[in-house]
Amino acid sequence: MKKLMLIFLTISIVLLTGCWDQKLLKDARLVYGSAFDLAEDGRIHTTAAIRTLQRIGPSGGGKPVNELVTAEGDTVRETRMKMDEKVSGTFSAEKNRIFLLGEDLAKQDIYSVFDILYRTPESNLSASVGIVNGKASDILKMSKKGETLISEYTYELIESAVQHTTVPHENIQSICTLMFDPGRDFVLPLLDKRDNEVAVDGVGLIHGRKYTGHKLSNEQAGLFLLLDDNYGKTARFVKKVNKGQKPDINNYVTVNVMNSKRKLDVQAKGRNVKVSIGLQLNLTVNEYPLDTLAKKTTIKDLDKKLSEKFTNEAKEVVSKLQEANCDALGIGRNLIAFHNETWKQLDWEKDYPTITIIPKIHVNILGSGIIQ
Amino acid sequence: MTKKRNKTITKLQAFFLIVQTQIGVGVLSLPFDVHKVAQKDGWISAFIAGIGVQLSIFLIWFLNKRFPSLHIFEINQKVLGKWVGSVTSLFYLVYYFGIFLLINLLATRIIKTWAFPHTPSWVFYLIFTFLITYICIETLRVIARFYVFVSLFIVLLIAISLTAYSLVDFRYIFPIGEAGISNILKGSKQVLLSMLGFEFLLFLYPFIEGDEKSILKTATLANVFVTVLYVFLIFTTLIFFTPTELNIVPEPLLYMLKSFHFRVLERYDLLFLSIWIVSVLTSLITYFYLTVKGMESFRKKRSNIPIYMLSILGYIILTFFPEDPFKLQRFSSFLTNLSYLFFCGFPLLLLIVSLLSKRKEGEGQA
Repeated sequence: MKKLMLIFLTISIVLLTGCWDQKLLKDARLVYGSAFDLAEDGRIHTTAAIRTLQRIGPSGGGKPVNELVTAEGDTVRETRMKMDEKVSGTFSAEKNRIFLLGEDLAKQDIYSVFDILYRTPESNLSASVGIVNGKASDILKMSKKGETLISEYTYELIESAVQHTTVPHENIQSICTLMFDPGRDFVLPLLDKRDNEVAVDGVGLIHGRKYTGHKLSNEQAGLFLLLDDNYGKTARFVKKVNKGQKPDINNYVTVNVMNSKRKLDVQAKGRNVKVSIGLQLNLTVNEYPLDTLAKKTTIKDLDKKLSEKFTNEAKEVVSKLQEANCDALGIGRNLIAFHNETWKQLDWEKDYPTITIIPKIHVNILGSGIIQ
Repeated sequence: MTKKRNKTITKLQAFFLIVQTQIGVGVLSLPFDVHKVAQKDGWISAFIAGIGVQLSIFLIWFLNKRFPSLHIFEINQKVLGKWVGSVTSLFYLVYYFGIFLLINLLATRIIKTWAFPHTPSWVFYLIFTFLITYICIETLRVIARFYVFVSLFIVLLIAISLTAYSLVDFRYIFPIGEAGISNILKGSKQVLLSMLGFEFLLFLYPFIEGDEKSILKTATLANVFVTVLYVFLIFTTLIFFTPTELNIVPEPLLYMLKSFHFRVLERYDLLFLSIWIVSVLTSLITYFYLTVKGMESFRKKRSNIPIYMLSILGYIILTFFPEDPFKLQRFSSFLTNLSYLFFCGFPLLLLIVSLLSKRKEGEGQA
């Protein structure tokens, strides 16, 4: 029996190493960022940033650099196969943190580009997604921003925008489920390359599986996220509340949203849908050079002015959403869930832009920092 | 003829023996299978399936209560007589062995698609067969202790699924009841098949400590636990995926976990998979053990040789089974449809015959 056990254990050691499916890190060429663009005649142009170490000096060690590989093909997989032929080792996209889509490609169909990611078990579905004004490969081609590699830089750029409530927290999987949802659309971060800088340029509005080409600016996007009850870690707004003060800077107030409370009320009668979004914002003042916040009346006055300003801007945001036919607030989902009869009568594609959505924002200033 | 049997396992062990047998290969694809039929009302189906299982547990309990120290293979012979009883036992044995093979095939398929695409299937069959043979030559008490120990993993399984709650939309399950009653009932049939394993009670009954009432209580608790767990898992996936996406994701529980990452950990699906495989292993052990016990009921002498032969036979069948997923599906639906016969049909027949012939334990032999 003991001998049998010994033989069994020896065989187990051979089997348990999993030699069939081992992937050695030394053979893998890890891709950290990918960009997809629409090439001529509908083909797909992929750019991948592979991280490698550049030797400095003979004693080993090295600094990370990006190696760019590009390929063109009819499908994403084809471009990957072509890229694999161009690099030494195995092209592995498991650690990919960021996927960038060129504007033109995003306007065609987002899902079909990402199908390869959804289908293969090794892909990383928690990666971030961004749409780029113009060509996505232009951003990766920068290779580096300051001392940071461009793939990490872009990823961190989006991450920090999420925390500042400028763009929503979405990843490859979370947008997949929304692309399939008839009652809900979404928005994706827009990136812009100007000169030698990359910046978040608001969000692009998606309808179904396509980028509509409509966008919200950074400030509008922040307000949209608050209306969507999607508060990050902080949210700041700069608003003009006075007129004619000198110097001009005195006309402005910067506020920080401490917390927000949203109430989405969807009423449906027959084919009539009326939506009201109530939003309560509790703010602290971050910057107000006039320094008149000691008086309660001034604060009340400021509250009123800001409420009005925010409400007007929210109306603009909502009309932009409706214009793009992008139901990013998920009103359709609400109808499916709670007003199913109405939903069945409606043709959401056509009816969404015509429904009434009334946002109302109420502002409460609760603090003014450590001075008044 | 009937020897007094030692009651060897505690109620807690019995609870985990049943629970671990029930939770197995089906749990990964369960939300998908249910959603195909019952749409967003899949979680209601799970409740109904739980009630169905409970009825079946009552039936099994009534049967076993009449023969408190006999297990199913012995009851067969006692009630139906030597020949008919032996044939029924043979049916049971073949059925258990079939389920054993089916779980092997399904589990290996999932491991291969999700984690080890290049490793040949025979390696997995070999590992499974070794482990199962190793534990099945032990007594029931040893197996029970192993099951209790690995039940820690169930807690972990639930904890991992909880991570999904950062990205859910509760509106997906409304309006409740849209699928219609007939679809919900059809969906509960799907869940019932994932709950198979409670019929282990047919064999387990005489070994459990305590009186008949407390045995019923233990089985009921096991059923409640599994039902609640399944409702929770189905519910979680239903509010995570848009209904239309769920239509194309056959293993939603794993898929859902793929989209999360925290500071140090990524790919929770692989973690989940490694825990799940233990639950699969326990189901495999149960069915293999039942097959072995079935075989032993035909022989007077106890020896390990038939166990080895059986595992070699199983291994050979597994390696020669065609890799065509549609053939696997046919095999799977054939066996699962057949299972009604074994957890409901035969027990009912046995109960009726024993009631009519007023046959009870201790009375004369047929």
